Amino acid sequence: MLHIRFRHTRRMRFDSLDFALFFPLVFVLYWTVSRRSVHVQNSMLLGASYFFYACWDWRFLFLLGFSTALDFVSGLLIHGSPTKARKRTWLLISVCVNLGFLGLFKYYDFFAASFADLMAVFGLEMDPVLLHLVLPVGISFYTFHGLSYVFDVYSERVTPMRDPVVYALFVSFFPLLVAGPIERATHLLPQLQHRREFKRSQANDGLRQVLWGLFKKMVIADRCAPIVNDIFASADTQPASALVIGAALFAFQIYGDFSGYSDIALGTARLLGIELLQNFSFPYFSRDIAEFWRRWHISLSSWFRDYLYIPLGGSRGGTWMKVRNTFIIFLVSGFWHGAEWTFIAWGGLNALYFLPLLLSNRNRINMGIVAEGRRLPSLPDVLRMGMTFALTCIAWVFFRAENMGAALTYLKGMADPTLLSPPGLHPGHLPYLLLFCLLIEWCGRHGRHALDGLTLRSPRPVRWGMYAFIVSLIGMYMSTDEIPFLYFQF
Amino acid sequence: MRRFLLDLLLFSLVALAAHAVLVTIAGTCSPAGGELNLRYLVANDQMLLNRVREAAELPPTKILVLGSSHAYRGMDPRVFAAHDLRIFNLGSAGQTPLQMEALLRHHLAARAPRLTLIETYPEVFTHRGIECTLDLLANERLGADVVCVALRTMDITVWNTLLYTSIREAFGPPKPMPAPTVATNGDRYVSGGFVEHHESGFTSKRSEPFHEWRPLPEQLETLRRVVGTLQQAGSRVVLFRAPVLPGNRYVPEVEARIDSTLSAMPGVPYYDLSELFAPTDTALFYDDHHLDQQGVERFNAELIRQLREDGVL
Repeated sequence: MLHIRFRHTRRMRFDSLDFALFFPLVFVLYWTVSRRSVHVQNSMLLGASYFFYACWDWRFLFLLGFSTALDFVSGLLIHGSPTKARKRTWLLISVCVNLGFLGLFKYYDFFAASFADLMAVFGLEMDPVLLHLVLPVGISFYTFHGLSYVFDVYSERVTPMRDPVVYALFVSFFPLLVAGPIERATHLLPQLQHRREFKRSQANDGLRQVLWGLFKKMVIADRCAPIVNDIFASADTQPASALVIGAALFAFQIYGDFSGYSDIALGTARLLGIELLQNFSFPYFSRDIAEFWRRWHISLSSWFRDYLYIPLGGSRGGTWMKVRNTFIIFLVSGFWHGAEWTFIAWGGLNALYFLPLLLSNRNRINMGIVAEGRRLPSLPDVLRMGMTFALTCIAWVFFRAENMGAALTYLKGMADPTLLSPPGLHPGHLPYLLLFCLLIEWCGRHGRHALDGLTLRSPRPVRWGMYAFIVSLIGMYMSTDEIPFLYFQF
Repeated sequence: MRRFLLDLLLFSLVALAAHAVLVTIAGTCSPAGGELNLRYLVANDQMLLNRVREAAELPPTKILVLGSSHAYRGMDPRVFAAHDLRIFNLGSAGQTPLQMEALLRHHLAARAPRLTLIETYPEVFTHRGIECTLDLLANERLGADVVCVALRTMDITVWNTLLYTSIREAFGPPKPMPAPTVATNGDRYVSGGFVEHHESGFTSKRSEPFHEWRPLPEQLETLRRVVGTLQQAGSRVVLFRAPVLPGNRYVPEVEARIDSTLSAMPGVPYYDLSELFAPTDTALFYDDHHLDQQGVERFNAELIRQLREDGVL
């Protein structure tokens, strides 16, 4: 359903002409008019961020403002409370209100419908009242920003912010507002409290990251999307070979889409002198699922690790505790993506993949970069990466499918004897583009992003030639259909 | 900061040059583009190349026809000649007022019409005419007007094709002379801008009328400008809609809005012949909205009759 839900969305997306006009204007004003004072810098960025958000839907500015004010005040109240009990009360109020809004907008209909389904099993027919609310864009992300802040204030990892502009900017900084990365107060707030100086090397690196993000989104993800949509829409009539290719292409689509978005977000922030948390680190070069989850949507995984897994006891308890906590964070992580059983199944399946590694203490054996210092991976590494990719592809089927029935039909179809029959697809140049993308990512896997690692030590003509070639590829292959970022719906 | 901006400017030029090289290679190897965002179809089945060449070469006619494929496939100079009327058809595939204006700037002086019939298929007001602009780029003379229209489409395929056309016009081979007059599907070019199609009989793809019509204000404004330009040049202007099957019409309230929009220009008669034929007359069409030769002859005769009856002709 991913493509259907957002087909008609037309907002200020990172790959839109609107943003191509908006960002240079912000950039120039930011580094010229407002560069002398941190307060002016922050006020200007806050205004730009609210304008950016209003372009999506101005009505939700009130919700964003309320959420910001709630956590700002909660931070002060928690910090100012004389007793631990009082601190905990304010924390609980803040968490309940934050999650209450998230639950109302995102999960109410799911719970109401699921409850009615459950009652129907017992023969009680119910007609649940469904709200059909429009999900405010970015609500999952900014709610988690706010929660991390109040948790950190409560545990005294940060002192509460007394400047409302700085705090509001921490929540609503436009590069991360609609789809992350989910920032931490300990990382972002200190940067916002000091005047940013323009650094050419930082700005250049930001541009490089934006360029690679645009390529992944506009060429890889958007070119995969129509093929994936066709295959998933007619999964029951496709041969197994086409279904396997469809699942693999969706893996590339969602990677290109979300990591592309993250690269653009990090790059634009870097152009404004602000470093955001890394969100992806070449996850498809992972040699096991544990490594994959250290490299995929890092800001969310680490959020759940720090604010859920560790407070639950982490892996310190016995086997049962480890199993329980692992399942909790993977299921919650799946549920965070959306109020669908398919997301929960996706989380549960990843927990099943992860558990054997955890229980055998092999979840931290692949901590470094694959084939570090070498051009090519060893055969065992290739096999491990292939196996990990295959496992993630199976899990992605749940993530992409319309419902559980469709996911199971799809997986059953993949195991059909028609696996060796021709898939009947016409991917055109897409395989070459995927190969190019993988090659660049492989060569650049030592860096913070692909072009950082790939071209940093090359002479300027080589670097510029490479960048110009990528620009041209985008121009020649970018999809002319509007295909919104998948993660904007979360 | 200044150094950064200078570098960025310099890199933009390098990237544009690199892109021009890649576009040239791609356009030379595969002008139709395939999967690439490039479409350079010179002397294609829409036969605009023949039309614009004749527009420059043939003597002026009393009547000029503008519009989309319903114009160049629906207004036959031979039928008009049988009624002692001489027309020239300057329609093109998916022609919107934006491209119409560019074509007029190139050809109005040479055609000098006393009456201009503008076909107004409602759908052409809802977009900026990518299909037609690509046709213009490949087949019309590349002038400032065409470049402006291409830039205004905000479409990467059009922009790449514009880049390729510019390079090709500067360094490439000339366009085919003479241009073919028989299309790959057997359609035949008839002198005066018409494209004749004889095959009829088809299975209708649509039967439900459209529910929405959202014209772009700039297209309506451009149409007003086109009408003004023609009137200033001494031509009367008539707007008309060609016959289509019900699946290409709109629900009644939208039809009423279309009619009121298109008939709102003072001194510009508007003829809605979209319902001229009954829904069962599919034998007069070769698809949902294009007439075959028999349909064209009946439609043209009816339009001429109405124009004469109203004293326009």
